[in-house]
Amino acid sequence: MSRSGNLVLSVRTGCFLFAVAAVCFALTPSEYSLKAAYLFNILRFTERSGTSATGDYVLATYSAGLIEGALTDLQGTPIRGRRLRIRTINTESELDGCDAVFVGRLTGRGSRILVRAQSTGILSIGNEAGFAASGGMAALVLESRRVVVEVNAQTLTAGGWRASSHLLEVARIVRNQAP
Amino acid sequence: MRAMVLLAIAFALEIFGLQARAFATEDTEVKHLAGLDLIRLKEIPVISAARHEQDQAKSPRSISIITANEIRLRNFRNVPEAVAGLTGVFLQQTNYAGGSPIIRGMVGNRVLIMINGIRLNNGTYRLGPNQYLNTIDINMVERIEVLRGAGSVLYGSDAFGGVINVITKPAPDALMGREFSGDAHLRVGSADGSGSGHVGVSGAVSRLSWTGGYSQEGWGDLRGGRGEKQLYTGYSQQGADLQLRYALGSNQSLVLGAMRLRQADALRTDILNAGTDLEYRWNPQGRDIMYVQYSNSSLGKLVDALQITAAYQRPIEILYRIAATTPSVERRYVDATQGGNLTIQLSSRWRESHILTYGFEANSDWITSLRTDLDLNAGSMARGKGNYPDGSRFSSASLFFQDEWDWTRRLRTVVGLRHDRFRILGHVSDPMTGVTDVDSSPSALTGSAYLLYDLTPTVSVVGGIAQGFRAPNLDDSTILGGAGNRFEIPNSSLEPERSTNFEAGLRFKTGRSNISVAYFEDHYRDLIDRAPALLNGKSFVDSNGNGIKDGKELDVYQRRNIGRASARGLETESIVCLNDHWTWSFTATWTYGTDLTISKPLSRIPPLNGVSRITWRPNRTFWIEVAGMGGGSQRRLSPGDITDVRIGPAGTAGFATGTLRAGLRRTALAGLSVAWENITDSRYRLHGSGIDRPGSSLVMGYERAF
Repeated sequence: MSRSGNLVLSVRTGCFLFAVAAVCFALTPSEYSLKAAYLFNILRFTERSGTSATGDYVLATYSAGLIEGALTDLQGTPIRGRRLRIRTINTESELDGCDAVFVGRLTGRGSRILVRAQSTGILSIGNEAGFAASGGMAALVLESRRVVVEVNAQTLTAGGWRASSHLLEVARIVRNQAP
Repeated sequence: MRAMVLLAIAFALEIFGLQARAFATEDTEVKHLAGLDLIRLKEIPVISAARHEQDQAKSPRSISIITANEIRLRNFRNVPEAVAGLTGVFLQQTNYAGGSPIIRGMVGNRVLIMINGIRLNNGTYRLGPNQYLNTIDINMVERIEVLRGAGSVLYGSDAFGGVINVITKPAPDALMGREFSGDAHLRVGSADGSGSGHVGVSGAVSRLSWTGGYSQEGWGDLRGGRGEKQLYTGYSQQGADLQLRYALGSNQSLVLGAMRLRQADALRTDILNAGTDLEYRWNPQGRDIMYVQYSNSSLGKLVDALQITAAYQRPIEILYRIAATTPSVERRYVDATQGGNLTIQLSSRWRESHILTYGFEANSDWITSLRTDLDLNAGSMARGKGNYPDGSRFSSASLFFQDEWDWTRRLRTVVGLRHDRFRILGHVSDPMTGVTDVDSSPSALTGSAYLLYDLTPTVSVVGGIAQGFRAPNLDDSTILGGAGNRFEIPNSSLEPERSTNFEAGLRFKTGRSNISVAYFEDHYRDLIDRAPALLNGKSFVDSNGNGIKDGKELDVYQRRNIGRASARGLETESIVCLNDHWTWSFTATWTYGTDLTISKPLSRIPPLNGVSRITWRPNRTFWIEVAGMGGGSQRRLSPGDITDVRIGPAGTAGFATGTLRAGLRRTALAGLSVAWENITDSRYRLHGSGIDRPGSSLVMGYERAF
C-alpha cells in the first residue's frame, strides 16, 4: 500500500474509533428527542374535562422538524386507551378532528393555528419561551441544557383541560403575559 | 496534495457517518425517554446548539430583561428609551439622537454595551455620557439584558457599573422544517412628528435559515412639555440587518451576521442652544458590524459546548463644527475606529452540579481620526489633529473562568476569575513639546463570588461581591493639547480603574407575584482624573521660553489614577397579578454617590426614580394600561455638574407624569397599539440631560405579520 494510502487508512481508523466512542458516550439525548418525550407525557397527563373521546388520539404538528421525526417512533402508543396518531398540518383548517397541536414556530401561520386551537379548545403546545404566556396551553423551553415545561393554567382551564399533579409538579406555571 | 484531498474526503465520510449514527441513536431512544418518569425526565440534560442561557430567577446577579414583545407593545422608539424603564437604569439624554444609560451611578465608558456578546465599547469611548447605545437598531432586537453591578469577570473592561447586552432576533431553527414569514411595523408620534417603518423577513430551507430587515425612521424637532418646541433635536436614521444560519447538524451551527445603522444630521442640542458652537452636527453617525459564530454542543464528555465568535465592526462618526469664536472655519472630524473581536467560549458540566464557563477573548482597535478645517470665506482647506492620535492602536487579550455550582437544590454559588492584559499604542510624538509616543501594557485580575439561597420555595436571598475594572484607553492616555484653560499631556503609566461591589437582596416569588429588593454598595479606586503635571520641568507651557508663566500660557495637566468614590443604593421591582385580568408592576431605584477624593457628590447621580403600571386585560384581544413615572429633584451636585450647561447650579427639578396605553389584536397576525404619553403635558428633563422629555404626545404603532 502506498504511503498516502496508509495515511488515509490510519486517519479513517482513527475517525472510526472516534465515531464509535462518540456514539458510546452519546447517552445524552438530543433536544429534539427529549422534547418529543416530554410532548408525549404532556398528552398523557392532560385530560379534557367531561369528555370521553374515542378513536385515535390525533396530535397535529406544525413546523416540528426533527421533533416530528422523533414522534413518529411513538405512533400507535396508547394514551388513555387511544392510539397516538401524528398528523402534519400546514394550515389552521387542517386542525379539525385533532385533539392536540404542537406548534414548532409561532411565526406567520403558527400564530393562526394557535388562535384556531384557542377558539376550538384544542390542547396547544409550543416550542419556545413565551408561547404559553402568549395564549398557548403548554410549551417546551430550553434553559441551561434542560427542557423546562411551561404550563399556562389559565388557558388550560379556559379550554376545558385539566393537568394532572404529575405534570404540574415538574412544570413552571406561567400566566397570560401582561403587555 | 492528492493525499491531502483523500484525507479530507476520508475525514468528511467519517464525520457524516458519525452524524448519521447519532441521528439513528436519537430515533431509537425516544420510546425509552417517553417511558421515563417526569421527575427523571426533568433532570436529563440535552445536547443543544443553543448558547448557555439560564432562568433569570436562578441567577444570583441582579438582571433586568426587556423582550421584543414588550418593545412593540409599548412602541419604544430606540434602544436607550427601551432600557430606561428597566429597574436600575436611568437615561441621560444630551440630544434626541443620543441616550446614555446610567447604572449604579456609572455612565459612558463605565457601562459596557454589547450586541450578541460582542463588545461595542472600544479604545476611544470617552468618560462622560455617549450616544453609542443608540447606534443599535431597535427593530432587530429580540431582547435586552441588563446586568446591574460589576460584570468584569465575564465581560472584562468597562463592565464597571453594569452591562447591557442586546440580543438580536435569531434566524429560525432550520431543523424544525421549511418556513417563510415576515412582518411589517409602522410607528408614528406626534410630539416629534416622527414616522418610522420596518420590514422583516425570515425563513428556512433545508439546513439554511435566515432573518433580516430594513428600517427607515425620521424625527422632527421635539416638542417638550407646555408646548415648547426644542430646536436642534430632529434627525433621521436607516438600519438594516441580516443573519444567515446553517445547521451543520443537530448540535452544530454556523451563523453569519451583518448589521448597519446610519443616522443623519444628529445635532448636539445642548451646545447649540448654549451658543458656544454655531454648528455641531454628526452626519453620518453609525455602525457596521459583521460576525461569524460557530457553535457546537457535541464535543464529548469534557466539553459540553463550544462557541467561537469572530467579529469586525466599524463605528463611524463624521462631526461638523463651527465654533462661535471662529465663525468662518468649519472643522470636520472623521473618527472611524475599526475593531476586531475574537471570543472562544466553552462550557462544561461537571458532576451534574457544576456548569463551568471558560474561554479566551481578544480585541483590537485601529484608530482612524482625522480633521479638516475648511475656511468658509476663502474656500481653502487645511489638515488638523483629530480627536485621537491617528494610527493608534488599542488591544487586549483575556482569559476567564466561571463556575455555577448547585450545592443543593436550595443553594447555588457562582464564582469567577479573569485576567486581562492590554496594549495601548498612541502615536503622539511631538517635537515641539518633547512628548513621545505612548506605549503601555496595563493588566487586571478580577474575581467575583455570589450565592443564591432558597429560604423557602417562595423566598430567596442573594448576595455577593464582585470586582470590576476599566482599563485606561486612548481617550485617557493619549490626549495632547490645549483644552479650555489647560494643556493636557499623555500618560504612559495609567493603570485600570478598579471597583469592589457588594450586593445583597431578597426575592419573593409565588404563582401570582414576583418581588425583589437589592441593596448595593460599590467602592471605586484609582479613578482616572486630571491632575497638575510638569512638562519639561515646568507646570505651564513655556511657549516663549522665558521660564515665567505669562498671561496666555496654559497650566499643564495629565490624567492620573487619583480618584476614589463610592456609590450605594436600593433597587426594587415587583410584578403582581391581582387576578386573571389585572396586573400591577412597580420599579424604583435610589442611588447615593460620593466623590471621596474631594468629599463632594459624585457626578450625574440620578435622583430617586421609578415607574408604576397597572394593566387590565379583559380578554385575549384587548388590553389597556395606565403608567405613572416620576423622579425626585437632584440638588446634590458635583463641581462638574454645577458648571455643566445640562445641569447648572440649581440642579434638576423633580417630575411626575402619566401615560395611557391600549392595544388591540383582533387576529393573530395584526396588532394596533395607541398611547397617550405625558398626559399632563408636564415640562421636565431627566437629570443630566440636554433636552426636555416629550410633551403630551400621541404614539401609534401597527404591526402586521405574514
